[in-house]
Amino acid sequence: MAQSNNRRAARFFSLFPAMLFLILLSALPLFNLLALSFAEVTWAEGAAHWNWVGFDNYKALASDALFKAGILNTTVLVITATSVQVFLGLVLALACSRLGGRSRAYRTLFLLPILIPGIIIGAIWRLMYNYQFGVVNQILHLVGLGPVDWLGSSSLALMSVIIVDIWHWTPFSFLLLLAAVEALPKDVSEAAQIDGASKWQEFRRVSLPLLWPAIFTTFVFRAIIAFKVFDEVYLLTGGGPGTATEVISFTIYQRFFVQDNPGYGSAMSVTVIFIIATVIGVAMTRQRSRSQ
Amino acid sequence: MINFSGICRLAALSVTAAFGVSVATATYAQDQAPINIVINQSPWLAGFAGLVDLYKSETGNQVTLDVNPYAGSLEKQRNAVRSAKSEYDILIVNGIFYPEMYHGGFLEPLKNIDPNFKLDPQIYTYDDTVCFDAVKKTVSCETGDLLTVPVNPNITLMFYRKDLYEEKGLKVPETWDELMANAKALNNPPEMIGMMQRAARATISITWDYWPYLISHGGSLFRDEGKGDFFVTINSPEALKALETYVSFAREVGPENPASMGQGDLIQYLVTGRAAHAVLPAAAQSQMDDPNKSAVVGKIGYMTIPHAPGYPSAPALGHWLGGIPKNIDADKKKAALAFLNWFQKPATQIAYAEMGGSPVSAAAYESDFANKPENRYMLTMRTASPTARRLWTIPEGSEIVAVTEVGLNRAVAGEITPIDALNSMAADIEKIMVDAGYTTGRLPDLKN
Repeated sequence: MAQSNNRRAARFFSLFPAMLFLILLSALPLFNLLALSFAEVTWAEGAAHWNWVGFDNYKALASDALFKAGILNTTVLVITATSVQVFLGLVLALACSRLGGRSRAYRTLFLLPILIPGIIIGAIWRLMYNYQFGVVNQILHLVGLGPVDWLGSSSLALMSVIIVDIWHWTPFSFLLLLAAVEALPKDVSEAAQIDGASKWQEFRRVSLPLLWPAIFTTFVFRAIIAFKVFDEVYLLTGGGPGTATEVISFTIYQRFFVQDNPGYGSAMSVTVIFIIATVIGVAMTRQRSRSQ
Repeated sequence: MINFSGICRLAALSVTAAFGVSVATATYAQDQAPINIVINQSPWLAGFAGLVDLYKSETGNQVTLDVNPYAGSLEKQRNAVRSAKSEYDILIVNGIFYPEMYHGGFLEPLKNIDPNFKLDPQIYTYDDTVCFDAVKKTVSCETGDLLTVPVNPNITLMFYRKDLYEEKGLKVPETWDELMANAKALNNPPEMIGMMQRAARATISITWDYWPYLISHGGSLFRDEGKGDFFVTINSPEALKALETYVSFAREVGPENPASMGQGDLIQYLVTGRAAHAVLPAAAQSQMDDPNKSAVVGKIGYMTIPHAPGYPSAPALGHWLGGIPKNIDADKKKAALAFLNWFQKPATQIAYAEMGGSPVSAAAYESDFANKPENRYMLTMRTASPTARRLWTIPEGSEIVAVTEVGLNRAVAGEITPIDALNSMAADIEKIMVDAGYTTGRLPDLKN
């Protein structure tokens, strides 16, 4: 009994440094953010003064047109961009897997966009989309079309941002799904082929179900990252024209930093964290029940 | 951090030689503590940096520039004044965000550092934005303390194609209607856009662009801000007329998607010879006659911003002010003031102009230098500077501008009507004012 207690204590103390780091680096900032969301902060004499305002910051969210536009546009971006990225990532992963060792050059090429910092991607695409001299409009001009104001048109701007996001982040899906495709058991596929299944049937009935957990995980990971999209919007459109490309991270940045309203910005951040956590929680639960 | 050398240094040294020992202030700043200036990256930075190098070479004093993007500079300034001790000795504060520095009590009144310090009489005070009355909570050089020295006069001017005006026999317009007629006469899209406006959303973009329309139609943000009356009037019939005029320029003689046009786009259209008119900060003139950047060298003219009949022209102030934070050591304050004092002298201001900077003193605008053809913008500045109008004087400006940037931009983008834009902006601004504890209210909603 005493030995068992000692072992339990040893386990607890061996975990203690990790727990301390977790509390300092994750829980404490989150708690601070939560507390800040119930306050209004002013500055004087080199110190911050917190005035507690209860749920006022949260109540104000309901009438914030920018917040609503940010949530809506972010949702559209997350669903569209993530779906396309996972689809393209899977297609590229299957293609590379089929090519085997000959696909090395392609793999490197496909991964390039994810290695480029967001700020540079914003600059590259801003130039490419330029109405007057951008390469996209120059190509269109060659076939007698355009020019198109990709970033200035309310109806096209969000799509233009989504295209950049797809270009930037498809390698992420490709990387995860390639690992999953290459880990597929060969014998199951071979058995299906021996049983007379066509290549499509083998993929549809054997490979795809086996890949499903990896596809789902990739989708969730990518969606979490997509929800945080900021640099592309900041550099390409600044949220405009109007609210056409307003995304939630940009709204939070505006409220928190530019308007210098940390209380309200924190309430917005906590709400977004709650929404993302809920969506992920629901998705994971459904996936778990499906796999059972 | 930037330590300018090369061309700026050469220019600085040549001006130094011209100055010789005649600059009486040259000895004023000797043996001062090193100072650190936080500043934004702007078209006028090179001129200011050249002047800093000149100061260093004249006095031997050390000055470091911490150069940042617009929003980054603001963040650094906020962090500096809110900490126990500021890492910066001079803050180059934007004309939009200075109220939060004034109201927060973060800047040292300059006479507290040196009771004998005063602004040179030829320095423009830009609608009294250099002074603050801490009791009345408003800017006023009559009753307030001098808190800053202007550093850059970034007021807006109308840039136009002088050569095309001469070719078509057009007269320089005084009213918005006359400008519209001229813009229509020159409008030939996509080769030539009649009028470019800075209608994009940003930290502050379309608000600054719309301001001259608002004021020169008799509109206002508040009923009488100078007297502490913060009743919201942005949804007045005058403001509506101003916004309708603004939107009509965008739709009738503007580019295909005017709501996405930022300052860089306006400059690009002008220097590539594709715009007949554009409202831009005066500092943008430095790019118009640069043969490496411009296809319209010598073809751009400058005029004061038009106005509605019966109202004066009202260029928007987007100027920059140099202030000294309270939370630095006394020797740093003294050194910072020594620099600002040297900066404001007439001879320094003329040198500033010669280095490509934008001076803040009538001495420069009335000098022989201003009469040279290549400096023709200075003659317009001479007329426009005294009429320039500030935006607001309250620290809630950063919240207000977030509302107006979105509302105005949505109106230009066609997402909402000008009436809906103004009504919603008025409601949001009233809420900001109520939350901040002001006695306020707003005009009844405009009707369709």
